[in-house]
Amino acid sequence: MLVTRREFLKTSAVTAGVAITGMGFVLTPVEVHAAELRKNLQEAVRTTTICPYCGVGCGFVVDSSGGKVINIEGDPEHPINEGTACSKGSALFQMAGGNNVNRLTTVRHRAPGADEWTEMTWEQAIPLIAQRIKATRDATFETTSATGATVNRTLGIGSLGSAAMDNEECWLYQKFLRALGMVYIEHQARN
Amino acid sequence: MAVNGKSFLIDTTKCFACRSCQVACKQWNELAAEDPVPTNRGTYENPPDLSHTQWLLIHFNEAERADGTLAWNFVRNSCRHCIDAPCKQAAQNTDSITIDAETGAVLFQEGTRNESFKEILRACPFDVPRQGPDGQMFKCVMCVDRVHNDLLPACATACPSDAIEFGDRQDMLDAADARLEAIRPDFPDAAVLDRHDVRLLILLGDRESMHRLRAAPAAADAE
Amino acid sequence: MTNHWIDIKNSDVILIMGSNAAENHPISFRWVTEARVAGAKLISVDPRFTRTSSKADIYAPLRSGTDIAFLGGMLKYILDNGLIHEESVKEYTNASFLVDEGYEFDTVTGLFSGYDATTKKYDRESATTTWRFQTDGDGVILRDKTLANPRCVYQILKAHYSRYDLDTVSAITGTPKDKLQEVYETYVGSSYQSGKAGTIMYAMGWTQHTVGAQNIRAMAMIQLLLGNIGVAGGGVNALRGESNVQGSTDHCLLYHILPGYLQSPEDAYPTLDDYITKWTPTTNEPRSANWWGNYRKYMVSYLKSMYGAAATAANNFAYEWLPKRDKGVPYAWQCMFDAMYRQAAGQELKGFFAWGQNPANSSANANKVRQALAKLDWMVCVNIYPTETAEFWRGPGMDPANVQTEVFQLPCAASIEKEGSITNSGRWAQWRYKAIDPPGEAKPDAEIMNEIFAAVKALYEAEGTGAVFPDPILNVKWDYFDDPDKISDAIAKEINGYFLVDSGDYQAGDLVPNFVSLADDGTTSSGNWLYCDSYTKEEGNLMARRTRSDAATDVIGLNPEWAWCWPLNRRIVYNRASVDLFGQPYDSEHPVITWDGEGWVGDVPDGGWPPLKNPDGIDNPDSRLPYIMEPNGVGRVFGVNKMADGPIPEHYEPLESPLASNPMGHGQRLNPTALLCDSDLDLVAPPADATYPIVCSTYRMVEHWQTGVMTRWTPWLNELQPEMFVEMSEELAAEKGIASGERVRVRSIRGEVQAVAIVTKRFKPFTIMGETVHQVGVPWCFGWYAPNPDNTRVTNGNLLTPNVGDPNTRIPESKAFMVDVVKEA
Repeated sequence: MLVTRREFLKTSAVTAGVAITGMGFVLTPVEVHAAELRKNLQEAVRTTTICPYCGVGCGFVVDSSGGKVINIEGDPEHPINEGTACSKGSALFQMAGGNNVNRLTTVRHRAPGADEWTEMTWEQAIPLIAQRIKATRDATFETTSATGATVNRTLGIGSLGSAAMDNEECWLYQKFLRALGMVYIEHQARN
Repeated sequence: MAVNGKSFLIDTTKCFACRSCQVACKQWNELAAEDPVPTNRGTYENPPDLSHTQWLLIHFNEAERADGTLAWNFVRNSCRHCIDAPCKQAAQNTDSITIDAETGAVLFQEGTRNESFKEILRACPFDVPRQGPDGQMFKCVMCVDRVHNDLLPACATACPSDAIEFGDRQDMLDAADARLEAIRPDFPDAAVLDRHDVRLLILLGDRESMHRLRAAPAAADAE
Repeated sequence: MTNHWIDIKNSDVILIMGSNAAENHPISFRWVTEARVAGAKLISVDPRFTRTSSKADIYAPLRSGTDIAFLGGMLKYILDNGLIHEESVKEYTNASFLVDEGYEFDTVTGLFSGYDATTKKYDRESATTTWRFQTDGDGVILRDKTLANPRCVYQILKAHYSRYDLDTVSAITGTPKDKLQEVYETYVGSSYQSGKAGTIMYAMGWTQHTVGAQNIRAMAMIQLLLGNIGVAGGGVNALRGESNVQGSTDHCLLYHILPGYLQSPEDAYPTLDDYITKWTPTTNEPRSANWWGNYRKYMVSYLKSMYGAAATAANNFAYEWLPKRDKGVPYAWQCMFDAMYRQAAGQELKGFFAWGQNPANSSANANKVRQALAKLDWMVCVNIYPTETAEFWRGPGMDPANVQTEVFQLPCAASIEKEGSITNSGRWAQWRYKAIDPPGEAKPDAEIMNEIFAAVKALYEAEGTGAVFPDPILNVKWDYFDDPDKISDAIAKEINGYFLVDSGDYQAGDLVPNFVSLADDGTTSSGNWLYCDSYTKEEGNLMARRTRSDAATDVIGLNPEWAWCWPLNRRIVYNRASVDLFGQPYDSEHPVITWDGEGWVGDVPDGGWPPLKNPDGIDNPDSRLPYIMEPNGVGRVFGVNKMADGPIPEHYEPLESPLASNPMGHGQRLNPTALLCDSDLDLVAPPADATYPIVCSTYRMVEHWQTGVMTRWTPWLNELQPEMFVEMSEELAAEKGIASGERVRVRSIRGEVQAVAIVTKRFKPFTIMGETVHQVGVPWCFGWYAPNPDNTRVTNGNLLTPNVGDPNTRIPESKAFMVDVVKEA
């Protein structure tokens, strides 16, 4: 079933039991892109999310259809923002994959001295990255420090990241970095 | 007889110019950003003016109060949805500009492309209508599609500090009066603009001359 | 935040200083507005009149970098007038403790006792340090609850801040005296009594200084003295700037700490026992909970979560596998880039991950970072958009042919394209769901980590014997990817922790219900003890809860069944300080917790022990003091030895400042322990340098976020704030012949940026020590690459900022430095 903007609205209604009245007027201005939208819509799915910008933690509802986000607005049930948003939150729609042509969608590689990127597959890039990590780690690994104490570390690799990740990813990332023996582990908290 | 339908109450004493309303309007109504990207003209205010894709705009104005404190006032500019809309009266064809019976929203239809933009613009007391590339005219539509489905307009939904309220007209007038009363000690000059004539009720704390109500040329932040 | 966003509505007076909440935490203003409508006063203290100031009852300007002087004046006002919350101060803080006789602050040298000019450090750990309390023969701290003893903390504070009179403070800060008085009277007067609460909302405007941590200490002291801790509408509230910077800090993606704020191991503590002994505090106070006494349980459970079955009692739970840092050596952000830039022999830093970060723009002295990146062998950048960091090799001033750094740019999923939790500033961990697949080849970060780690591990496995210390790589517990739809759940459970053997009603493999269950013998695991209770056997994923409270019953808005909050779903920490000795709330209209005779009702209390006194007025030995994480059980008005730069705050000038000496009249201009870098790119303008006479600060704005990576590619936001600007007063603009909207250059000794001048009434010249001092401000969200790449454009505010740091946090001083402004030729 194609979900039209009108039907989508029905699912958005905050209060239940509202009859969709016959609209006695033409809504031309708000249908600027409606035809294209309808063509792409299969079935709107509603999920909730938390805003990726500041630390307030506002809730949003995301309506997607056919693998594309069709609307994002403040979550009216969320106790902090109660459906509201700031300008950044109101613009979340433009961050969704498919809604922003500037999103990175491919692995890119810049060779030493090169003046452009070349595209790579994950299958090409991952082994190269692993080799670089191992080579630098092995070349710089210290089992003991200047004082003779056991340190089992590398100071040859550093990391910044990241408050932009989920908790689970943050925890896994610290595990990954500390398993490698890294000490230079930092993120946005300090800058 | 009292006027029915809906109204906005814009409480400028609560607005802190996050401009969520400007973006929420664009998202819901699928309006493109300005292209090319505008420049900074020595002010936070941007885009520089209302346009066929910019249906509401927050105007910024700095002014000093009599007691020496500074006011940085933010006022929404958009269609006022006049009770007795002069633009409609100026239109040659009655179908070009319609009034939504339930809300009172003033709606520009496709037929506006056959109207004289000069005449429609001249009729508007607030310099609001703007013309698209093919001649059709555009402005705030009160998100009537949302309102007919018991949702608030996108701007009112998004506003973090409830500086944009929306509802039955009498409720908004009552809310305006209550708010005027509450802020009177801090804002003795507080007033609601054009309360009998428009559905976009703008409540100002400072006197009107300390605000800017229309787009202005560059570098006009200061009074 | 000790409290949380909704709680702001309970405040009677709100001080926004060191932050610009309306612009950078806009939805906080929903609650600020609610408090204001209910009658609360809003105070905005900022060098510049901001969108926050536009809604304030009182706006007070101050010169950047003078917050301690401003707050020192408030401390003097409180102490001179005795406007303290008396019971709270006497019973719940160390104000009555007697300080070591050797402790002093020298008003001639400007130094606290114990300074070593060679190491530029204070002695705060040795057996002879004076930064400690007097004790009796049993080691119990001596105190005088009348607060009259001249060696008690209260009297020491009173003497110290007696120097911060209105004339002195005004001459330093540039704040008019009547405004100082008005702020002090309003903030203190509206919040020191029972039933009244004041809150502070601060952010990087306080942290990004060489005295950043002491700025916050000053306010924490004020809050303790006014009884504003633990109560609804009070607290010390850091407004965190990124959606999960709280969570990423809790999980300790930082060199100095492990998840749950456990210390990261140092070479000085080579064994687990050494480490535990060092970091487990002891106390002689019989009614101190001293919760950190559980250190070993949390550390061993962490090690079990790291290394699984390979961590055994026999191998000290693989403590030796954790990398150790050298004791006392900072490996913080700016130190990392210093090492990367220097590439000193034997300390080469050749590989780098920029994972969801854009340091080419976000670092202080960003040009140094860009030069440092050019010295790497390789860099892996993971992001959802192109960044100035990934593109640095063709940025301003770079010749790609000369840059040998190999760069991998990996596309990752945005927040709505994966599932997991993030933790907001109020410590709420909230679950979010996947709406759509990531675009193109993009993948969730966790999957990228998994692929890289698997490839690394395979290389070490293949090498076999002879591989360089492969043990932690081969043995780290890594079993979260079996069910591709439950990856985040699997890790969230690991973070919560498991019973590893049968225990009471639980079987091996069950999730632990909370951190009280954790053991120190390897029979439990927990990736982060603070997050125990977030994902349990009984209730599943508590972070996904979505039940709002009824406002009629949950008057103060705790919303305990919405998501989950650390620790133990406690929404307001230190809440035992909100009740009197009998467990009755100081504010009966806004109770946080209440003792009903049998137990606590309301928020999850800081421990379930009964009130300090029984109904008959007799001390209850089974009770515990309210500050359960403090060894002495009370709030630290006097910081003792926890701070690198003094037990109490003193005003020092920023590294770069318009003054040649400290206007407090002593010999120490700069924080004597400030972290300095001295590479050839770490240029510093001398004090009162005529070439750079204007104070400058960086800041953010509502329309963009951080370096702008996630907003400059968003057309709807870009049109609101399209390009770099510098804000300046009408007076400075007139002196310089600059009109609003004209193009100018802002220069510091380290670099320059192009900007549009915004000439505004919102900046006013300051009168500092009798002289006119101008201040300007620049954002740091713009850059050369987005939205239209142009490497002739230098527009990032961090090209101006210095690489000097607070000695406690190593956060750089981006909020106060010196510049000049010139009209574009």
